[in-house]
Amino acid sequence: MSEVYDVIIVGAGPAGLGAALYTARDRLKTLILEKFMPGGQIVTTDRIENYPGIERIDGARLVAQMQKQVESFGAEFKTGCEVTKLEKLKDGNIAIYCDKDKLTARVVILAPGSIYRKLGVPGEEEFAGSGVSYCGTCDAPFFKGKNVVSVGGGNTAVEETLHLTKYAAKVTIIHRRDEFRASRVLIEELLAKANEPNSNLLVKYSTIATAIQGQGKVQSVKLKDVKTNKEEDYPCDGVFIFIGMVPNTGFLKGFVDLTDRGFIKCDCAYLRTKVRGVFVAGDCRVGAAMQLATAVGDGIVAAMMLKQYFRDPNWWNEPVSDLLQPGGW
Amino acid sequence: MESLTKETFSQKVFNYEQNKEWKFEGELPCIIDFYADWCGPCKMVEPVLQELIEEYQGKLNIYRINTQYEQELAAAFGIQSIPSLLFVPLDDKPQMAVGALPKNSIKKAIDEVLKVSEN
Repeated sequence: MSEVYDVIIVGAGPAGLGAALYTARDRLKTLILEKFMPGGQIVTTDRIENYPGIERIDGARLVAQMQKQVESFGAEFKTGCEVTKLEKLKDGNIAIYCDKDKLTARVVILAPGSIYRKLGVPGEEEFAGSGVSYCGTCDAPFFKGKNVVSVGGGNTAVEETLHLTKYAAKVTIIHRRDEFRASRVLIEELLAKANEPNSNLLVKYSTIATAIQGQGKVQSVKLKDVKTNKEEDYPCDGVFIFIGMVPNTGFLKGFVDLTDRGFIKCDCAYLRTKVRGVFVAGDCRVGAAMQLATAVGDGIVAAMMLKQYFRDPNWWNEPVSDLLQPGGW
Repeated sequence: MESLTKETFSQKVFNYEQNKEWKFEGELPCIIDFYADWCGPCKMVEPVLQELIEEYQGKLNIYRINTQYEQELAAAFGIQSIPSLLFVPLDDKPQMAVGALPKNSIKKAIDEVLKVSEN
């Protein structure tokens, strides 16, 4: 029989790495499964300025440091490994099916993260990869000297739009509301850029994209002013979509409870799912703030709480209580 | 993983200056990874491809093309998003897959598009 891990963490993004740092430091036998290589969505970010204690860093470098730190305490990584199924065993352990392997753990922390949300408009699928992109840092150089439209109003949208202005001849950011949802500091930077003389950045509020159009390549996007309902064909060569993320939880259907939108249901304090011994951390859970620091924090919460489960498996069904002081263990 | 230049691409994959119709120059099916150093998802795909090189040794080749330096090759294939993986079978037209694919999906494409089974 194959060995039983104390903890298997599904996903090596910030949540999974945060969890692994704590479990490995507790000398728990820890394995992290990742279908690509460690990092998750954060590796596509070229500027992180909101992770406390680090003034500015790119996602790939931060993740490399996190991985090195986690490995130094003995956690094992298995990359290129896509989890397809989980199963609660009669002895209380959990089986994880990954490619042809069946792995077993006393506790599982689910941290599969999230993937790009799509607009769901005509033309989006057709032009994906040939004019429609979800990663400004990856694809901006292919639009050097061209006109692009970026869609969204959160932190990622604003950061990626600013990145696009370094390459494109003209960038138009459209947002469905009449104010951005990004951090104030980013909004200020965006508006300052738009207000520069001869700026290549244009901001359009209260505007949505209803179709992406072209013959063989993107030639325009159909824009609609949501206040006046007026539509226009807006010429462009590319459309960058940054409208948030959806949880990457399809493989968990039937194992844990999911919301209608696919987020994993949990108690939101100790991060317990309905399955004993299965915790959740990061963007994939209900109530997630979808931030780097909160994902890391989630991983740490799960790593702290699993010790309580090891001490008393019946704790799983107990309500959230102020009697539990994990710091004192 | 071998990086292709325009010259080695012409010798090993397709000489698009001499041929208008697709004509594969290789002896084994291949996968070509269009990437750039600035691209995070490309870095996530690379170790997966390295593993596949071992797993399919002698049955297929896996190459890379750095789109930053080989802009003509990138333009020839209309690359506007990376990573993009080109699956080139022996006797059929190549198929492009855009985005970072998990290992299972790449293996499925190796099986279905390249008609190659694992060692």
